[in-house]
Amino acid sequence: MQFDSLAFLAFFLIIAALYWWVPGWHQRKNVLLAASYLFYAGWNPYFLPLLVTTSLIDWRLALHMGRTTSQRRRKKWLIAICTVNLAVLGYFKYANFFIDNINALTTSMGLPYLSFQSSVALPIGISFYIFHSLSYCIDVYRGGILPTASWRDYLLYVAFFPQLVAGPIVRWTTMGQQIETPRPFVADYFILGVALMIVGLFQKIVLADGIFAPVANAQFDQSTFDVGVSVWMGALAFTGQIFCDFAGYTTCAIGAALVLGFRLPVNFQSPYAAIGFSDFWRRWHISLSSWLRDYLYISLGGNRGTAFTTARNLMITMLLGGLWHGAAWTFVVWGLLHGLFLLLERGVRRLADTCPLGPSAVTKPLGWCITLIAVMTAWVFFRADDLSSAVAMVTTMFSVASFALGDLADIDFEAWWAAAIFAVLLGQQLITRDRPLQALLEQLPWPLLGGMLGAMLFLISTTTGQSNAFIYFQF
Amino acid sequence: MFFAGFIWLSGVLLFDGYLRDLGHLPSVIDSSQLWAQERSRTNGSDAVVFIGASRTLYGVDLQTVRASIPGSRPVMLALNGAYPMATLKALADDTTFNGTLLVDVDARGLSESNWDAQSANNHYFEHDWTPNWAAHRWLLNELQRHWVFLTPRLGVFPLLKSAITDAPAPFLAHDTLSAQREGFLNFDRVSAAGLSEMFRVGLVEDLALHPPPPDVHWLRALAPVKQWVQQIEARGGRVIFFVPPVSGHQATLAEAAYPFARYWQRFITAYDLRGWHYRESDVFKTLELPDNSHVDARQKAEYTRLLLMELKGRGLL
Repeated sequence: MQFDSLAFLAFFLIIAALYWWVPGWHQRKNVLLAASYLFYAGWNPYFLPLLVTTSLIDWRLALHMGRTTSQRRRKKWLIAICTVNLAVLGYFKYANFFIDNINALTTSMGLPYLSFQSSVALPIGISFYIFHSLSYCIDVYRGGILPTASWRDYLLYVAFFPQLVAGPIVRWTTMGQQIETPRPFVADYFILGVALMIVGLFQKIVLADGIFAPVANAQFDQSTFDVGVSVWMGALAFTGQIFCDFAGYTTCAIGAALVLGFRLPVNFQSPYAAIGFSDFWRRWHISLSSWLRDYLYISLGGNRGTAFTTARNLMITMLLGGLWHGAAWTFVVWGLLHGLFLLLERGVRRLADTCPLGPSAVTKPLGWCITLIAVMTAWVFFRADDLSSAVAMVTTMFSVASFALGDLADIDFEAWWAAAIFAVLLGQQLITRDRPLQALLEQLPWPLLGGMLGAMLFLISTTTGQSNAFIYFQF
Repeated sequence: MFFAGFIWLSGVLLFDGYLRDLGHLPSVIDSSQLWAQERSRTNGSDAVVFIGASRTLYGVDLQTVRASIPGSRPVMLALNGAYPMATLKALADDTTFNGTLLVDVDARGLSESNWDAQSANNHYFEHDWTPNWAAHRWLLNELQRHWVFLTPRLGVFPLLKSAITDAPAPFLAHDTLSAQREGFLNFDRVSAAGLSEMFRVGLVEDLALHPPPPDVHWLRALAPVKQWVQQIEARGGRVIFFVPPVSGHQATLAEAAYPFARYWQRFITAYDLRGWHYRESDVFKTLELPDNSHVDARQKAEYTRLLLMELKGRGLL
């Protein structure tokens, strides 16, 4: 199901009412598990057995691993778990990519008859629920947590519907205790949850789909990219769209969980106000970046070795992070670009430590501008249909010859409107840089909060175009 | 929260009233989801599926079809402004389809350059249509039937744009749609002469942009169509091609570009297909249409009755 559908609205009203109505905690958890599977089946019921089976296998293997004292045998269990999960992920997510590349290779070698057919359907949210399972099993292996004896609790942890298909990627350390102990009904949390859901839907329906997506699509769907201003407008619109789309989903997820008495971690914290790329990754998709740091980067050795091994570990982490987003070369380049940005930043910081680069009143805004421009440029690779289009767009963006004053007159109303809204979004992120959205909403006086939410609901209701799938559903 | 609810409810009620004052009417709005909703109803031998473009969407009265063909379950898949060949192929490839298929397509629509016109809708149905969207669309249909503000083109932003720039205000539509995708045109709400001229200019431009291919090439390219028909017939289904009536400039321009005898008639006879062209009927040949292309909702039932009578009379249905 999608949060921005009337089907979800009806589903959530019924489930929330039923959940708070049934008396016991065990029954409530049963309601949540059944609801989570119904939520998943709303997309494609045929992939539900895959979710249930992989979850049960992981629970069972992790339980065995947890009961084993021999470190060597624990390692074998972990290898088995990682192999099962990565094989499932690899098959469903990367088989088409692999076969397409083999076909391209055989065709370029003049052997087109050696090509293969590829049509593996991607189960929605597979990257998210596999990462949930892996984090749990690795934490059990490391001894950080004890495996749960309840299969129902584990299945609910993996499938909990607010975060099932697009995160946040929640750890057992965050969810375990919340699942095991009854959630009390707290009216303030309930109201805050509803408010967050409204804000999230506003971000998705009004801002991402209504304002940014049409401008971004119009630009990225072009066959030529000659006009610098237009390409920048497209990049800017997609920068706004991807944030509002994904942050909108996460805000809805956190809100829906809060209505049910659960607290999910913050996943976005004003990422476009970041100064530097390490700061950006502390603010953008926080649950994924911390997952990659804790389970991949540190496992590779982190920054414990030489400068070279640190750089290698960083590039591998970012490359795999890019590939996690999608099976395409554009995502690989996007990940590598961010790896490169992080390496450059480390170099600049080292330089700044030895010789101060200037007063912070100058370097901070400069650092913010450079970060934002680099992030926008990298988004072009993320969104473009193929590498050649992305390269053509980026070349135009940074080519003086592609700019003429008269081009501004050709920019249409929708693009100017998107640029204005993007400026407001940036302003809001700069002002509320370190204050989470939840805290901001809690601090607003009720007439202001009520008026704002009422206006958002009005705009949501009157922006009923064709719904676009959340961008992160495909990952 | 109650205050937010009050603001929202007041806002939408006032906005809906404002749009109604401007003359806008509530209607189910067509979309790839609504099309997919109907596309998912095509299995079963009792399905009588209409594919084509606006003349069928706004011309065929589903209740009359139900009454004229007892035991039938009519399904409307015609799409405004798009020729149906992609849907014909998709239904041929769909092994669950074994019903009756009525294909509204003229010689221009049979040209290969128009075959992909409905591809996007078929792609949506095959790849993106889910139980979630089926439930969503069912609920949205119920709401759109009663509330004008749920019409996407009448949202706040289009109105804001027309207020700020010199863009025209959203036009008063003369068409409405039911949840089963049955269209209704009300020519009292629009200048039929203006529409007629707009269609004439559009056809002239399109013919200049896509000139008719030589009849021999045109006919040869249609060989796959025979195969698609055979696929459906092999499952017990049947396919009937028909060209609904046009009048005035539309008829003259169409005949000049794609003469009936050289194109349509040869297509039907060369491939041994079931087909009917309005030129073969005295009633339809002389029928005057308000905008030279479509019937008014008040004429629909009679128009459909006559159309089905023609098809039955010729042993096609």
